Amino acid sequence: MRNPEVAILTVIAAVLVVGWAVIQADMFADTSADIWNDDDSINVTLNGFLPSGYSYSIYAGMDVSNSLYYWYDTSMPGMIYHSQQVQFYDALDSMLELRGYTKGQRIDTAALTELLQDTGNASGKAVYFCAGVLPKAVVEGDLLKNWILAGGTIHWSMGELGKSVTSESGIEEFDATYFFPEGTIAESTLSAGVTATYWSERMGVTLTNCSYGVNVQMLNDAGYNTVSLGLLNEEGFSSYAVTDYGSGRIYSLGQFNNNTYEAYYLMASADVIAYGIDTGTTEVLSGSGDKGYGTKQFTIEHAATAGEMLIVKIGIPFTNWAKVFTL
Amino acid sequence: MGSVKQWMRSLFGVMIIAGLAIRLILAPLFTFNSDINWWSLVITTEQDGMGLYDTLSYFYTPPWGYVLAFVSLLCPLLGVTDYGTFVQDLVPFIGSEMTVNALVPSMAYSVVIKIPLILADLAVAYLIYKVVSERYGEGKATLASALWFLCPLTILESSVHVMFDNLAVLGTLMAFILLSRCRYFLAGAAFSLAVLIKFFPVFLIFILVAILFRKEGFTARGAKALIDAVAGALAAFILTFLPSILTGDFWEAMRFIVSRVGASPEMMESIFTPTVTIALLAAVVLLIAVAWYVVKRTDIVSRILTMAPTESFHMRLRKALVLVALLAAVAVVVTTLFGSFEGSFSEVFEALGMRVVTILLICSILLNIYLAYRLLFIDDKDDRQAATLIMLSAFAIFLWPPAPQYVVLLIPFVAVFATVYMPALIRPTIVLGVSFTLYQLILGNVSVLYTLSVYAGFPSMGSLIPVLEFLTSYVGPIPMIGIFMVVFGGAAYISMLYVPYRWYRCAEVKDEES
Repeated sequence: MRNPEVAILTVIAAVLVVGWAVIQADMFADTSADIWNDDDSINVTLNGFLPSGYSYSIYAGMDVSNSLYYWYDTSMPGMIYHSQQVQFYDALDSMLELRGYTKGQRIDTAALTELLQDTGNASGKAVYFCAGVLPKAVVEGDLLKNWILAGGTIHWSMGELGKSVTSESGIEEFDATYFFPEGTIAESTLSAGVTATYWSERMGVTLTNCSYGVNVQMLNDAGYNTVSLGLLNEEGFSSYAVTDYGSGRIYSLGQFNNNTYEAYYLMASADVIAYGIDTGTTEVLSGSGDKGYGTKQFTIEHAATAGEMLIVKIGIPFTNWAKVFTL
Repeated sequence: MGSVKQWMRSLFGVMIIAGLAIRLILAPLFTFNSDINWWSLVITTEQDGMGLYDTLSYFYTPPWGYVLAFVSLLCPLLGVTDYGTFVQDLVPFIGSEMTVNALVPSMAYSVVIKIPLILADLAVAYLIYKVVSERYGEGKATLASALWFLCPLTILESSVHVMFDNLAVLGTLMAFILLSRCRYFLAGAAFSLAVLIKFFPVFLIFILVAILFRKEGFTARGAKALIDAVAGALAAFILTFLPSILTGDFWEAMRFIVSRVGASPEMMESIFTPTVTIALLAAVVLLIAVAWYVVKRTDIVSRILTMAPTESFHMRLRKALVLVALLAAVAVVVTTLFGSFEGSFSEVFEALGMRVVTILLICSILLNIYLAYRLLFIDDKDDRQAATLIMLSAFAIFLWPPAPQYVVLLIPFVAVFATVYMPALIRPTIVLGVSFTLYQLILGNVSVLYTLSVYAGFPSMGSLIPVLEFLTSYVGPIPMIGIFMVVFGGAAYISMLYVPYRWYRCAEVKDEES
């Protein structure tokens, strides 16, 4: 070959262009799934051209929020940059979309205040706080707390819940024991010696340690029904947990290295929201297989029971696509 | 003569087949499970049509992400659908001083993702062979190529570690070759890609510019060649980043590069406001105007640059560079002394290490500038001195102890130089490759066996856990793995420094003889 370097450069350019084109396309866009129940089994049809791994799970006791809101207010600072908050919410939206869940809606403090005032309709609504601070306006007068007690759900991360509040004049210290008793939130990093929990195994939360996890054991002892969704250390602190709070719930996700989120926890958060995993959720059965090209039909030997949900997923170990069926 | 040539060619063929066989045997069985799991996450999101930076799973510049996207297409087309399994036995070790990841890659996926990297190894081997054989014969070409292709470090990085530094090596090598063939636009494009893939080749920019002016002189031709090269680099840069620019992710896409200079995308976004960006664009326009002027009035530039520097001028320049390096060192030491370091032993050690690396990085830049400057003014008919300066320039990138994968950038330069000009460097080059391979094996340690354990059942995961327990244990405040890293990393670093030292000793002897 006379000029191999030019040929090689051309091949590299072609690979990069194909790669760029692949990113623009959703390779599993044609995926769909249908089910029909017999007396003692569930038949699943999985459609889609490309081969892929699939898995399914039947859960009981799930509670999916109908509406998801993202608190985002550029008029007040957070523990992370506003651009990082946008990045996080956008990434979460993408993950939720793959799981068949509607995107969240961004609301500022004024809209949040309005939402929280309607305690009568708190149930079925969830608000995500990803900035490591709560807006001062909704903590004062117990607006947020009352809304949760009335049935609302919050998803919290990036710091100690309640410790810091923010307003247009800046971040100030509030009360780390406002929601949970003293000592139940870890200030240090959950270091080596962590163990997996049932849900961390199911959701693949096995990569990173983090700080500001809640202590599952202490919260349970204090009467707050809490379940670990992430990794658990020897002292009982969990990197991700859900706690029943009155009629509502608080999901606590930790804070990560360099104040940046990591995709593994993002996916877990998307699982939790899209599938409605809470303190009372249990797995009935699960399985997996290889779809191959085209359509795949399989039967789950299980008599469908009202209130159970079937989740069918494409992609192993990470989810490419998922659909939730209410049985 | 013809049969010797044929024999050499067949030897090259045998060497290539042997190198490929080793890689293809290793690829499914042995994989460090740290980086590859990030790649599988990226691949999954790419398959879903998400942007590279949409899901907080990709932190490098776009080229490697596009290669992964290509792999994400290959995997389902080849029927590879299982990328790995979570192994709960590994979870207790997460968060230790070692990088422990509980996801173990499958054999089939490991092979597919390594294919582009193995092909890159092959391309580099062929280019080395081709370039050397053109001037120095098939025998030396085969040997130089073998020093790269059979080097245990290059094999390990592509076929076990799944790190893509060899793509940067390929881009760098192509830049040098294209430059030597006066294909300046393509040389600039190749170099730009190399830097965008793994940043470190950027240090070679000085020597590349010096080569360009040595070839073309300080004339209108030289200025035009430089403009061509810069245009090629810019074209590759813009085309690579265009998707990120269009989606507003430009600074996120630059995270890997800006983090190398202590900045972050958020910081850059706050600095590069619309006003600053417009001012910069205006500066670019001004630079283009200056470049145009230089092409037209090269007599002014050449009058300055072609002043034959005297030995005393060289000496003054050397002193000035040493002074700048000392001042930088003093500045870093002062900020270290007055800075507060908190955290565990490892964290403090790492923070102090970073300060030392900062000093050495500054020295590295200055040294590369000096070597390029010397290259401009040497009178060298057989290119030996030029080759020496290029080889030393590659070594000058890593004055600080580099991670093993970075070292692959050195291999082609020292392999060619040793084979063509100084056979005494062949053995140190082999030692360099072996020592960094051992260091890399220490860093990857038992993870290299996880895939075999999970997918072939041998060795059992239970038998690997005690090794992990030992490596994650502490001797006082010092993590056990840290001790191994210092011993093996230190030995590898010494073996790297030994190569230029050996060159110096050989050059000294040669000078005395002449």
